[in-house]
Amino acid sequence: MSLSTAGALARPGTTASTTATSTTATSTTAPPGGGSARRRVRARLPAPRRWISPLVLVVAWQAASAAGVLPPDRLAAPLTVLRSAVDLAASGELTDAFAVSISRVAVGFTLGAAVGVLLGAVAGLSRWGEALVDPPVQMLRTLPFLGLIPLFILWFGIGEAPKIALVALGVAFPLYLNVHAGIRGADGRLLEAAEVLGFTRWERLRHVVAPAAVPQGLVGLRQGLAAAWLSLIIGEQVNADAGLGFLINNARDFLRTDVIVVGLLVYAALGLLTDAVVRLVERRVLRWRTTTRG
Amino acid sequence: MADHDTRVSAYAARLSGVRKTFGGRQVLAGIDLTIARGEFVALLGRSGSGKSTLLRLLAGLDTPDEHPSDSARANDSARANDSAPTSASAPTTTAEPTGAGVEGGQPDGSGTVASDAADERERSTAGVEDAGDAADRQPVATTTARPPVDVPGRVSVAFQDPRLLPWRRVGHNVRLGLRRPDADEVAERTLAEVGLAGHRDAWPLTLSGGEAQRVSLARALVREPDLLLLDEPFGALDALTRLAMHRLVLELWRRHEPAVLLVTHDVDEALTLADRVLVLADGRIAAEHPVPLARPRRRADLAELRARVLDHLGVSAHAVA
Repeated sequence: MSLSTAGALARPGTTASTTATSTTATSTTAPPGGGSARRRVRARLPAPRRWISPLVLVVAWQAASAAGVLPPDRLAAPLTVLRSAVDLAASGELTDAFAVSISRVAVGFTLGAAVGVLLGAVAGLSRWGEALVDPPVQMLRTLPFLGLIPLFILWFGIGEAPKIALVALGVAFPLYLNVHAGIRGADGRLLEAAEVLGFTRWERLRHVVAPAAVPQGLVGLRQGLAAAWLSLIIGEQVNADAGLGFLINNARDFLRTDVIVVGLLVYAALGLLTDAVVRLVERRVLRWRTTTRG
Repeated sequence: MADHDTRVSAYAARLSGVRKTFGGRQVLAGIDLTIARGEFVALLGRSGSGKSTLLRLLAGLDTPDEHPSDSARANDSARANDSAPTSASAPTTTAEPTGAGVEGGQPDGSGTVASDAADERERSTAGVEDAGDAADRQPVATTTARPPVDVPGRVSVAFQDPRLLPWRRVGHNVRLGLRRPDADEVAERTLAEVGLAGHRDAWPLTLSGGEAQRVSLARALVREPDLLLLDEPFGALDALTRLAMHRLVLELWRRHEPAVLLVTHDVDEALTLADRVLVLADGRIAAEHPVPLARPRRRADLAELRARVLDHLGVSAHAVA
């Protein structure tokens, strides 16, 4: 039961990330032509005709609710959702839940990222490291990590620990894989040049290997963040007494579909927000790549 | 300039009976070559003739094969007089570079990160231990110590592809690894010398092929090499850019006076630039042609020499002309 809810809950997150990538695509294709700032701003917003169908759907939804076709215990009307969002925000309930969830992701992500990057670097930089670290990690990777919840509950109880552990686990694998691959993918010709130029081992690491691994590492960061939100949503289904998951589960008991939708929208917004942050980091860190001569 | 005087070697590089085998195929079958200080040598050869291998040996990116007979000899002599501590250590020290050489010689670039430490050891052993063991290993060549590859001074390389770090700005690329307090100024001055004064803050990916190659040259020069190795650095450039680069290289060579080894398959390029043109074939230096002409050289003056060099490369001059 919890898994099917998980699928439904996960969907807003995934759609959010696909729209995010499509906007990236348009914005990266548009600017190289130069053009005015106004054109660039317009390029970032979808074309007007792309607004039509979403708006029609929302209006239809509202109309169906008003006509009684869509009863509020199945799905609340958009305007009701909006009103409860304002109410929840005003009462501080939403902010509290938001803060709890965010801190779970933050702690879990930091732990998972540290482990993933560290192991990826060890496996990438040393042959022995690879021989020792890679096999067990690849084996563990085949386990569906969301299926570990029962074990985690037995190990960590039902408090904060299993939720954070789940997030950390979700983050660690994609980061490990991408950091490892990124380091291994460092261009041998550049390393050779560095050798001839008399780079020290540290200089080689800092100026050749690490920057070479960054693009792939950022891919891992994005995948890791997506996994983090997914893990959080699922982890919060398990006996949460605070956070967005608690808000949603509580609302379910009272048939408050409006609150459930608000919670889902907040999840989606958070996924979008972190994705935007990564894109910002990408644009800053990889700016040497975007300036290719036309 | 001052430390030039303190250096005693008369040559910038010396190869003595250098052999190199890759997977059972002998690429270099005994090369003897001395490059004088400040000399401009061009090395010609068909593709696969071992030109680049020779350059890599000089750059310290590969180690030469050991002569099997010599290491056997070293073992014998070590066993014969066990009392001498120097020769007793010979078998272990001579054995090590062989193992390292095989590892470093793998042509797949994938393992380079992990084997960094091994490479570093290999480089140091090539310089230090070879010199110590040379007397044992090559008793035939001369009575004095002769390592197969002897490069006493600083070496720089400009590769066929510029190999700039795309994530470091041009100026940073030039000065990276340079250990002197005025690295910034020197880098900037050298960039100006190659005609790229305004490009210090440019990203390498925004440069044209010729510009990138000039940055690569600046990066090699900024280290004030005693031996500058050029591995077909103009091969990928268009004809006009290549001519401009020839002029630039000659100008820089005159000003900085490094010895230059230019590896190329372009006969005209070799004859226009070098003091001496070597032809590499079947792993040996098949021919050697001094070019006793003042620069700039006119193509017409080079015609006869060109025919002879092409002949050594196995191409009939008439067929080409």
